[in-house]
Amino acid sequence: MKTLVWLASYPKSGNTWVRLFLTAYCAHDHCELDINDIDVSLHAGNRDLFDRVIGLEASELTPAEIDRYRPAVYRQLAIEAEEPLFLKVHDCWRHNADDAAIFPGEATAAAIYIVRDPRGVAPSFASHYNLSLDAAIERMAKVEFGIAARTDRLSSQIHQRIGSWSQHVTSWLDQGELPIHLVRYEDLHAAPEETFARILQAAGLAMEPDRLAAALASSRFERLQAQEVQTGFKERRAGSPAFFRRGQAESWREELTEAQVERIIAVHGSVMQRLGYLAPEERNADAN
Amino acid sequence: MSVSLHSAFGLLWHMPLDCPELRPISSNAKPDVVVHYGIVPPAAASALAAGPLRQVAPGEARFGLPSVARLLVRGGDEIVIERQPGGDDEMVRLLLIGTGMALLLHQRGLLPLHASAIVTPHGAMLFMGHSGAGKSTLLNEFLRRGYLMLAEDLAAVRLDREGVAWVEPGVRTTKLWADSAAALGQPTAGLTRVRPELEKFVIPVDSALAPAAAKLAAIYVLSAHNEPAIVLEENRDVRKFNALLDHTWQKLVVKRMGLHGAHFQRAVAVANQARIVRVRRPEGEFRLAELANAVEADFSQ
Repeated sequence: MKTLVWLASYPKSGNTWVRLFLTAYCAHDHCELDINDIDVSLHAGNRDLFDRVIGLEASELTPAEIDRYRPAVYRQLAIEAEEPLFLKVHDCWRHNADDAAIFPGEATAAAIYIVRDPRGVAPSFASHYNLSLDAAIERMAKVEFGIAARTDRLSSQIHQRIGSWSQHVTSWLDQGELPIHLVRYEDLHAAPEETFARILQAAGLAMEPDRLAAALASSRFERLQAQEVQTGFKERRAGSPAFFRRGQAESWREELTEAQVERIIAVHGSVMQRLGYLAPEERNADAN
Repeated sequence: MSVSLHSAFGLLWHMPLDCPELRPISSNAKPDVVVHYGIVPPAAASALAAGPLRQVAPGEARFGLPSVARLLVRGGDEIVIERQPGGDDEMVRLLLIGTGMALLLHQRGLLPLHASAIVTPHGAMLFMGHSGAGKSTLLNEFLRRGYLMLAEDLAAVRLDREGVAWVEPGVRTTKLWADSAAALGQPTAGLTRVRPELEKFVIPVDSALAPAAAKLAAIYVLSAHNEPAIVLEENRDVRKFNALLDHTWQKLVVKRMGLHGAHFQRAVAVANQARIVRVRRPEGEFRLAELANAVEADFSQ
């Protein structure tokens, strides 16, 4: 029953892009990729999925109770899946109160963690959540940040603990239960063919060069962006101008002020350095 | 012990615990369904799992929530509750009045839909949708407009001998999250919480309850989208049928109980006689009055 492939990331780090690529690759008839007509919505935080599998409404349960049953939801999905099943995850990796991993190893075929330079995440995060850049940077540093975390209203997703950007990255990279295939968002841009090919390999999909080329072409960022302009995209949040915004790894250089960059490095410098986003001297320069 | 008799979904239920969500009946009539405490024997080896918490065989279904209770729902006329240490009455009732009753309604040949419902001069209107779609909020807005409540969250549709679809009266309370209560001007001080940790409140609706079943007229399927407009669009053909299947309570269990053929036929019959209208509202903003106006204009035409 090791059929689940987790596509984990902090929000706005390229997760949807990777899922669209995989959807295009797995489409059997090489048809044109339509961003709104494909199942990119299988999401570990999906409330309806939880309700259906558990047989009880999550809206009647506390966040701790929901966390208690989440491993069982994913084990059940893994049992029912006949081929690798991709699940988007924005949660940080963690155990629940029963000390069970929320994302159980026995249901897991692979875990792919997509990371993006937090300086690149910030402008995209601000646009998605309709925040100022400063507010986005602040939220990315908050240890208590979560999705659907309000207790006074019901969200379409179940509560997901995210944590700060640094916490999120280290929660996935430093847990010892699931082997992680690490993907850098910046490498999806710089070396798409090689990086996506490695994702296929990690997910256990057979590598076919023709299909890879076709999937790369149909999930090119500019194409997704053009399609969103034309038809809209259901995953765009109301109030956000566009889901597929700039899609450039380095655009933060013109979007962030020096002070904003410094604040990001002050909070996340050590994890950035670990991932190669920062040379040691850059971090020290900012620390000084 | 007539106080333990309650009426819900067109049936008389004998309950082993007080159920303030249901209408009490003073009568010596024989109950249609007996709910009692007892031991739930393990499922037969041939029973099928439906998710991690349910085991299903023809004519019976088990549902167990650790630390709360195990339920055995069988024959369309009996529910056995085996309480677990630590389970409080509120949680037992959550299992019983949601999952347990929906399983039993399937066994009795009703169609349990994830919907709230009101009575109008044009018949019963259902507001159907997944959790968070706005069923209860819209229901409460219509109660404020003077309509009577038929159902909240679980609406049971019964087909009579002529195949006409009726919506049976369900519970007598609604539940509102704090943000919806505020939007409705409903004070929450002093109201019981569904769970102590959740800002979700139980609101009694005693003065606005529909007394009897009403003929089904239309089903509004609620959802949110990321566009600025409220959009109503009537579903046609197979999309009507799919909407009913998608919003059936306990749908994973139907096939495993051997009831999918009958369920399929009921959904077809309902799709053939009720209008089914997809309602999309902007996500993140309810625009309650505008939404209710649009729906009211649609069912009043």
